[in-house]
Amino acid sequence: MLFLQLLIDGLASGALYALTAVGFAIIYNGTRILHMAHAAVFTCGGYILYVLVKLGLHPAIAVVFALAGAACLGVAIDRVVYKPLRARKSSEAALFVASIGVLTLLQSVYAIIFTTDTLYVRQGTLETFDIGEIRLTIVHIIAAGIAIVVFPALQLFLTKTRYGRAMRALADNPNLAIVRGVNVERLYMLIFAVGSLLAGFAVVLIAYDLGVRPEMGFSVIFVSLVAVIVGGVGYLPGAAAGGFLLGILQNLSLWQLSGRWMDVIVFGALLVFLVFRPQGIFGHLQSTRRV
Amino acid sequence: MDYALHLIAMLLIYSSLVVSLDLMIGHTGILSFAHASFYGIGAYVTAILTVYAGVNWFPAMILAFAIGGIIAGAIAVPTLKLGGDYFILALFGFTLIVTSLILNMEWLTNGPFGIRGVPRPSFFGYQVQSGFGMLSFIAVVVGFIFFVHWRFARSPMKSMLHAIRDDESVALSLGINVVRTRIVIFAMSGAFAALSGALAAFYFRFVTADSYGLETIILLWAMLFVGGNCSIAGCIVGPAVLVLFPEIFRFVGSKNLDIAHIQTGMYGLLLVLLMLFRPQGIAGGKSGIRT
Amino acid sequence: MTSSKRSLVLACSALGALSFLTGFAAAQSDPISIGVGMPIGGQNGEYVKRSFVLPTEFAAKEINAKGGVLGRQIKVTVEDTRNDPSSAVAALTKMINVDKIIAVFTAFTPLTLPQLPIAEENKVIVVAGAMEHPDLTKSRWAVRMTPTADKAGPVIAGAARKLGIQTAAILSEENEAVRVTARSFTQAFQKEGGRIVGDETFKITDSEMRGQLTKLRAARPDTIYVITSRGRSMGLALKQIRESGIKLKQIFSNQLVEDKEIAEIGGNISEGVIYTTLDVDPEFVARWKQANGFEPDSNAAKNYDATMMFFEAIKRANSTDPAKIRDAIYNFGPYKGTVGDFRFEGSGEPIVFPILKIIKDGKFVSYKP
Repeated sequence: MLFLQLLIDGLASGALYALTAVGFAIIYNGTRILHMAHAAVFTCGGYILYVLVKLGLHPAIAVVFALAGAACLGVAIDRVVYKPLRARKSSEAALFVASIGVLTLLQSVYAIIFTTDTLYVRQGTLETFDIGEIRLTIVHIIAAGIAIVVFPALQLFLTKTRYGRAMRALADNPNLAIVRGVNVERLYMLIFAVGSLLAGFAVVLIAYDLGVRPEMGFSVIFVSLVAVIVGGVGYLPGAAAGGFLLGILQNLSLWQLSGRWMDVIVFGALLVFLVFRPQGIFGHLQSTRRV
Repeated sequence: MDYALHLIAMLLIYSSLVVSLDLMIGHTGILSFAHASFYGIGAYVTAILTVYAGVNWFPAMILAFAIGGIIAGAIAVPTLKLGGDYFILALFGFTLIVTSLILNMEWLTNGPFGIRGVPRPSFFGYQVQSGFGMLSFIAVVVGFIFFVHWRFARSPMKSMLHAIRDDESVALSLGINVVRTRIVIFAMSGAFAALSGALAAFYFRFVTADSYGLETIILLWAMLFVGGNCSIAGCIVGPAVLVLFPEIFRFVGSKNLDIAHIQTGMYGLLLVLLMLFRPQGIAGGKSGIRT
Repeated sequence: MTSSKRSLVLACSALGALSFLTGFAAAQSDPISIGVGMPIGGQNGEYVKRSFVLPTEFAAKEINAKGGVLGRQIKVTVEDTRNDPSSAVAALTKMINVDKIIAVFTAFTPLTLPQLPIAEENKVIVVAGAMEHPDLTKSRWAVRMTPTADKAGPVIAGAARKLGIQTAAILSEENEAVRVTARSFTQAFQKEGGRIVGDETFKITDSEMRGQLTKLRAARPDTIYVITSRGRSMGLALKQIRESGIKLKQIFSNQLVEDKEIAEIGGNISEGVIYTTLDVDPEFVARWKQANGFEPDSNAAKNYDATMMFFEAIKRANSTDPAKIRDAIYNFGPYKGTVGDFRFEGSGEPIVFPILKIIKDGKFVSYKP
């Protein structure tokens, strides 16, 4: 029972990690920017949801605006900060430092506007459902639903549409996309919009469950980073699988150990993967895909 | 006067950390995210040896230096062969694991309680006193660290490292053992960071895991890139800006409590603006890492 | 090399400007100057402002309206300690040198412990009203207004055994004072014949505790003792306990359950929780609520008491010499505060014991086991 429940808890948090991780991976694969400000984009979605719900908007409509808002902020960061740096052919170090700057700046802005208190989008406890000994909350179920809808949709977009295929091509080889005559700058906008949108899906659920606060994105972004590595850079289903795997690993580690060892386990897994299998679990698939 | 002395002491300790970080990032192009951990390891080794084992301050400091170097070397061997972003992530993970281990290995580190009562250094039976005495002690050790790096920046080693940083294949064709040199530099930089950690332990007489985590490493990176890498002057200017600049806020408009967030936000903004308009930093030269 | 010279000049002039400011501000001496050094900008800034900064300012405002102490007004300087020891030391030395404070009001172990040696050297009283870490009062310059962390555990253990509870689990934050409470509970509960079946922790930044709770659920405890240092974690822990489906006879916690962040989650998640606290005087609650617009928690009341008693001690010492005030506090004897009766007998450690309360219909009412 314990094992099964932990597995299900792990799958639920894994679904949320997978959403942010794939969002992060889309941006990283396409632009090679360690986009730390993704955490701030994530948090922004939560605050938009909070404000609109408090203004009396129907939650479903508020969610749409939150997703759109996150996508806009992601694109805006790219336009205002990364684009000039890219134009100057800045190094990865410069982009990374700028990204940390954006993250710090936006977190402070949130704290100034909304204070550091946690703000709750909904009141009270979540609805729960019992299946035998297993307990599910509404968030478990919605997370599963979103994962089931969003990932296949994303896959369709990436394989069936012109821009989706261009995004994948760009991930494989930045020069290739230029040759094919795709407007690269417009493609970058799309990449940031889609990547941020995915973070938006995760954050509306987290905000609904656990509330919003300025640094909520910080820890999620780290787990996403690890998920991308574990799944293998350059391969999106890998990032999704990495997210699920980490969620499960985090929860199952509680099975035998105390919760305090969770960080050691997650980041220990990262180190082990980096050292022994830097291509990620699905690294071998990548080479066949390229053919 | 204590206030000014404290700021100078902090400026010195941070400068010494940034100068050893610069050896890695600025000169050798190793984008290390583990510097705060070596700083913490140095502080903890010093505290454990002097408080629990009753070791004298000087051997404790030497041991902190040595252990910092050994751990850095041990981490460098498996991780340095990884590519750029992977390496950053691996050391991110290392930083989080070190923090977590410090918190969880209570038998050694006293866990979240930290270790208090680190004795001040003494010479021939005279204990160094707070204020000028302690500042002079710090100044001597930091002066030593700076001297080593200054000598180094004038030695032929420098161009060898710059070759490794700028074009690995050129360095290889010049017959430089790139991997071994990187490992040596990493270990050396880790050892010096641990020495700064020992200074911090003697200065605060208290060590706690909170001071050596992600926030510290981000601060150190910010100091390096604000000041300008590959430059001794930059290693002083960066910490000066980030240590002294926030202190100004203690004198202006302290009525408004949200000044704390405005301050953090401005520091984020500063990073973004610098990367956009003066990527080499305030006092950086042309010889730095490509930004 | 020119650039390094230029930067040196830059650094020197910055320091020069600083010492100028230092000299400038030191000229005034008429009001009695006290400092508040708290992490107001950090992750829990709002909570710190409401329960740790505002009480001292509020007390000073009240006393100033009545003509001050010894005929002098009280001047409160607030500094941000920014959640790192280096800034905590900077904040304290700044207040000592520039604002000439005679006492600093502080909280939180990692920030206060590095401040202690500096306060001792400069003969400044450290008043940590709500800080529960046992080491604090080993310093001869420190004082607190709360029972130490190890007092709450045995009280809860006793109440639990009286309710016939056999097995208990602990869900606590990874925090020094909190872990002291957890240990004191474990020892006392086992001594009285109970059994600890689970002890899980979470980090202060964590929001999700479902994994920990799933594990506790499998251990089938009669009760969970939730110990945190922030209202946020307390609220989220209670919410997730309610959602987890654990069948409990009782939930125990500490005074953080009174924080307004729990009420904001809603859903009566704290209903029926028994917790240790100090009894806050309703007259004070009303006065505070009228002035500040929200109810004070017991930490706010403790910090208010600490400030008021400090003023009282200045009157008794009839001097603003910190050493004399310190002695007056240490030999204060009984002090009646808004959170009950304290006794100081020769040290900064008050003789005071936590009481139990229960949450009934959203109200905090006394509980007798």
